[in-house]
Amino acid sequence: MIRVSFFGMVRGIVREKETQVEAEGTVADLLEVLSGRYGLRFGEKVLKTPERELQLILILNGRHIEHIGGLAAPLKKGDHLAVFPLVGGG
Amino acid sequence: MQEKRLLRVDLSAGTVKQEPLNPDWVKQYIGGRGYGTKLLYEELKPGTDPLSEGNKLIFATGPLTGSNVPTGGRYMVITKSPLTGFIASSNSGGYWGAEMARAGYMMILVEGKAKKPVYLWINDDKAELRDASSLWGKDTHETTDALLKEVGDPKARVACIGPAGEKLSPIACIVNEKHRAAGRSGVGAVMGSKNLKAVVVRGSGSFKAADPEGLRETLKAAMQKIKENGVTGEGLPTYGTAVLVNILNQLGSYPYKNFQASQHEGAEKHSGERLAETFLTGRTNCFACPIGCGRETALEDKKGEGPEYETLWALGSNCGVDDLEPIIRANYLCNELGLDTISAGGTISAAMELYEKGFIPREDLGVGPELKFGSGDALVYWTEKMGKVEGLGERMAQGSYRLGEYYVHPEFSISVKKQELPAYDPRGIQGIGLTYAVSNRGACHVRGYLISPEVLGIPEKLDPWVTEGKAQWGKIFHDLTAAIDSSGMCLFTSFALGAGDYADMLKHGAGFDLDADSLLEAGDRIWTLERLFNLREGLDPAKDDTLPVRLLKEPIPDGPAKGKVSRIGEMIPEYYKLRGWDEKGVPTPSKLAALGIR
Ligand code: SF4
Repeated sequence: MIRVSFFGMVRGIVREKETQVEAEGTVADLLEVLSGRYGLRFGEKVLKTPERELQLILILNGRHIEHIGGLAAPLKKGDHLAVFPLVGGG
Repeated sequence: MQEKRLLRVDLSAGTVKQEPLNPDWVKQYIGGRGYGTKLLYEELKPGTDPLSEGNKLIFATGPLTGSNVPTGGRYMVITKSPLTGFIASSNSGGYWGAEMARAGYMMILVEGKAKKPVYLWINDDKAELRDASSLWGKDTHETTDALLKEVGDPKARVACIGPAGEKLSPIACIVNEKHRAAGRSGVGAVMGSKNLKAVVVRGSGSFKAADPEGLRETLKAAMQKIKENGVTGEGLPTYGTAVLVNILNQLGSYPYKNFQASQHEGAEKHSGERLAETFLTGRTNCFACPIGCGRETALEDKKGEGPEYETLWALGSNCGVDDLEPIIRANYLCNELGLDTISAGGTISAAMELYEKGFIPREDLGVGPELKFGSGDALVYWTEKMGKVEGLGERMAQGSYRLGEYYVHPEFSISVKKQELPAYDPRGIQGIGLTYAVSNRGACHVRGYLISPEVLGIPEKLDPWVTEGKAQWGKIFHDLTAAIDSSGMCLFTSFALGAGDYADMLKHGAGFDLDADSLLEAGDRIWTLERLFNLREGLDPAKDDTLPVRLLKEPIPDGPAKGKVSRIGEMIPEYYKLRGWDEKGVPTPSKLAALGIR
């Protein structure tokens, strides 16, 4: 099981704060499953084009996925993915 | 170029007079932070006590303040800091700066000391000092309301100090329009030391672009970029800055309990998401701002603005407090009493650690609640005491370093150059640690917001755990920020805009002959002059360009960044070199010559 938490306006799209996903493989595979589950609006936000993908900050076990292999980062049981919209500034 | 002037206010003599600006300085230092630094450097006698009559207090707008360029409403306050003993250079938004610019002034230079409390009333060309005895002791909200009534012009804007500034707290800020603050480095105390309660300004002039056609084109492109950018177009308008709470906490670089740890289980309870569900009532923006990151909030008995991300952390997690209610209340108190929220939180957290470890005896607390991490009651009570400079609050109002020193444990002050750290743990985010260590005004995140590449991935995704390349990024960010702060625009536009865009706006808006490279060079010049100011005031780079021992020696105890310490030692030598400074951190004669600094 992978624990997935949603933040910011992503919560508004998926209408929940957290979910558990049975997924194997990579972060990309997990996003595929999530798109199936949450439908077009989520899918568009995440996967449609490479540019759109940049509109999210994905943190896997406390690391931005970019620094641990990007969308190809491998998943293992018990992992935690935090999904944020692109935000900034403080 | 605009025909803006300098207003020289001599409080000892009780005179005000207009002077022309120095055109060479404008060319070299632009305005705002840059020109203000040059002015202070030339006019302040070295070694001046920051709270003495001899210190000078400068309000500075940029050439684009008061214009229609996006976010063109910022001003800066420059002086010698009573907190750090080095340069203070604090930025604020709202509407006050635009009003000052529209009254025709790029600089207001305040010198001397009034015999009794006064305020400065500027109505376009006319400027006069007026009695403020009846306002002394009043908070910033009461003062603002009273002054607007007194000058009789509802369109006037008020920047003032509260009791903290009056009583010379070196963490006191200057508050404009009740909710916006030139927050850091104790600029409010300098105002208090001069018996200057407020500056009220009304300007009816309008901005005239140097090249209206060129500016129109430039603005069109800039607005488009701001709108299309994920951060400025969607993230900041929708969630403000508070949405960062959960991100930093997920990364395990969200300092907890005075940096004893860096992840806070209760952080969700004061996150931006929770704020939006509970106390949030609306959005606000500063002058000419298409982004609008400001938040309006309300408690049962009070309304206000904020808290921003920095404040949520400083008064929240850093004090171990989960819940929003006491954080919002303490934030309102800081604005009313005139305290910098970051330093206020950093001081209470240090006091909590000192108390819990037995270094502050119970009897020193008087009837106040115990300084225990996590106590919302203690947070609110001691914020008020600090803002009113009463009881132990008097000692706390001196900031965390002096508080720690008094109790013989200054190591619990998490500060650089005695200024409290902001909300990002430099053990888990290496580059921002470099900015904290070398920032000319003490620990600061907005001198070079490396969080943008290291956490948010803008403009590139840099690994926060790595030190390599950070010196280079640091220098570019530091230089660009110095230029933006001198232009009159808000730093938040830099998520969407680059050096070339700012150069274009200064060119078409105010007649500057600048491109991306020469803009960054101006930033370099400004940063270097600030450095010279600090060196002249006794800065010892080996001792002062560093981080608190905790962050260099005590690894983060748990969470994703477990085991990490800051490795600024790997970045600083390279940073000095890139700046053209010698290995001791002193600008070399050839570098000064190249920058045209005499
Ligand atoms: S982005 Fe926020 S802080 Fe900056 S000018 Fe706009 S409202 Fe003010």
